[in-house]
Amino acid sequence: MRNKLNKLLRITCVLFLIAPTSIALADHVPTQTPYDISIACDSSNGNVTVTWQESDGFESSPPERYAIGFDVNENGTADAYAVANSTGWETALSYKSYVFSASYRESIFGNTQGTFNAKVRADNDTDASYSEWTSSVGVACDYGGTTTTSTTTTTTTIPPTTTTTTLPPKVEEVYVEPEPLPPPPEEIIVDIVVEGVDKTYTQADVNDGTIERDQERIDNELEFGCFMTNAQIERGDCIIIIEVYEEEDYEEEYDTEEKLFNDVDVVDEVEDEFIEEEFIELTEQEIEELEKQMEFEVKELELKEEVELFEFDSEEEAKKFIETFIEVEEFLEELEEVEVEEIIFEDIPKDIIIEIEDEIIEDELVEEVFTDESEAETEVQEQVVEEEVELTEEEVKIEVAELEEVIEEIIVLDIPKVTEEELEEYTEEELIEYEEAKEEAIEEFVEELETEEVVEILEEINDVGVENLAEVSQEVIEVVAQVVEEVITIAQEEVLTQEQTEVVAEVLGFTETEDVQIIAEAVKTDENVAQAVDEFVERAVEFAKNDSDQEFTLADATTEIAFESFVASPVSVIIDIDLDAINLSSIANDMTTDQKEKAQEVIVPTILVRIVSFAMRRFD
Amino acid sequence: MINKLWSWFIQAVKETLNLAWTLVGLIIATLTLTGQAQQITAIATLITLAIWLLTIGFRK
Repeated sequence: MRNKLNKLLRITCVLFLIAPTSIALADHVPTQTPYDISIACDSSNGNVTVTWQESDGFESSPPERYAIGFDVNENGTADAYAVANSTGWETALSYKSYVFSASYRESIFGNTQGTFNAKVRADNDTDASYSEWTSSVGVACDYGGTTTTSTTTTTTTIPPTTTTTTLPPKVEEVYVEPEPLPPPPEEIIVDIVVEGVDKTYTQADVNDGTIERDQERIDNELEFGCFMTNAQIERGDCIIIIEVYEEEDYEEEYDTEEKLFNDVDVVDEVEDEFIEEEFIELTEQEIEELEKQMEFEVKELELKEEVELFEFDSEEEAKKFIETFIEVEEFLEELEEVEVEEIIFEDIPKDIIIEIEDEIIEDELVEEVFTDESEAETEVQEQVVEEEVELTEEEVKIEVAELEEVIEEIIVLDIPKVTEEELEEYTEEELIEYEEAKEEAIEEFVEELETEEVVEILEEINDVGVENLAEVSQEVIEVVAQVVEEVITIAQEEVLTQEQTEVVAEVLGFTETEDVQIIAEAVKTDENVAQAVDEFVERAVEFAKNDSDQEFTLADATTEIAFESFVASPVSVIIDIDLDAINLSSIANDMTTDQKEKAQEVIVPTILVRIVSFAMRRFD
Repeated sequence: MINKLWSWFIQAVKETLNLAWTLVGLIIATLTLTGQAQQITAIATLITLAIWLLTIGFRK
């Protein structure tokens, strides 16, 4: 008896272990049937809401959308029509719903009477996986008919005054019986053989496009050997092998007409085969890519045979090496194609001005291949030939005239015009007074200029070149100096555009555009810099008069002013130090790149000389 | 005491003269710099020079 009980217990245990396994496996169907379907009627507006619960997510093909079948009948079926929602599976066990409005139902069934039945199915079109339909749920949700309104106007004529009085319109609600809509289409059943299986489709499948997709799959399987929809093919899920025939190969392979001109049947057969195989038209880009790939593979094979000296840590490195090799070869081929023209000079001009324009040689990119993977990075080197434009005297004159014209157009000074003869007759006091009045007028006018006008003048200065400003009149120089000062003030108050910043940077001799903002900030705290901005143009003009070949930048003006103030008061360098303002973490952030470079040129040799002298002393 | 101070002064002048080229370089560097960098270089130069001169005896 005990043994029997034990046996029964064991069998029960085994059954218990088997049963949950099968339940658990049921969860792992490709696409689970939605759970907990319900239907509700909103009597206030006649909307019918079908609600269902999403699966727990344990499925290999989660729903991409849900199909909702519906019908109105008392049988509880919902096979006549189907719609699909726009969202698929989102959150495990969350609820989704679909609303059938009264007007929609009326448009389909002619009225909202009867029991509205619905059922739901989860669809995954990508994997062609569809769940079972849920059981149907139904609800009676009659929302009445459509209401319309009409107005009646009564005109009463009252004799003998013959006055016509129009009474306010009387509004009456009139129920108009809606015209019966055509009867719903009967459920259709379509039988199509898919992959050798006779597949049956319902009206719902027709509505949601299942038939079309299955048809696409059949067609694509025949064409590409992939049982996939067009969308999947376009996405690249199917690996399509394209046979590309080189023109020469084709001629060799298919030019059988000559050899077999007597055998017409054979030639026709071969041509037909070719036409069948040429089913994909490649774009030019695709052909180029394929050609590149072929070239790469050929080169790879060649190099593997020829070059055994190179050892690469990874395939990527080897690939990069081959790519670079091909690029270099192409470049050399291009070089060979360049024709060198012989130019014979008959009359060599005395002054030869060489103009080299900005040129970025993009084709000559050099790729560095690092042996250490951690350091492996591609560096694109741009070879930029710096602009060196030297204006001829005539060009300078033209540019100066343009600058003066622009300044005359923009700047209108509110001071009486004085000729040179009149100025010569002025006493020293009168002359000083006139200069001050003029300076004040320029300052006032320039302050009121718009940013665009200021930048326009600066562009003209750039065209002339600061070094050529000596050619312009003193008045123009003063205006230009004031404009330069003004643009720095503008840079403090507003953000200049990139183009405007570049113009300002060029005038001040900066290589980096960020330096404009640095100077705008430095002017607030550093007196030397502020003075340098103020006097930059005058100093640049003076510098140019000395026939120096070097460029004069704002950094030079700053250094000059610093030296002058040091000579005037050496102690001020120590006294004027504000220790609180010093922040070691941003020690050189308030210096322009140009200034840093100039300081570096001085500090580094000084320290090096000191170190060398120490070393010499030790050895002595 | 006065003699000691006087001899130190003479030594300090000698040492400063030895450092003349370095000091010129540092002064020019200071003048070339702007902003905080200029101030720090000036302070560092002066403090180092002071320490250098005060430690003449110690270094010998």
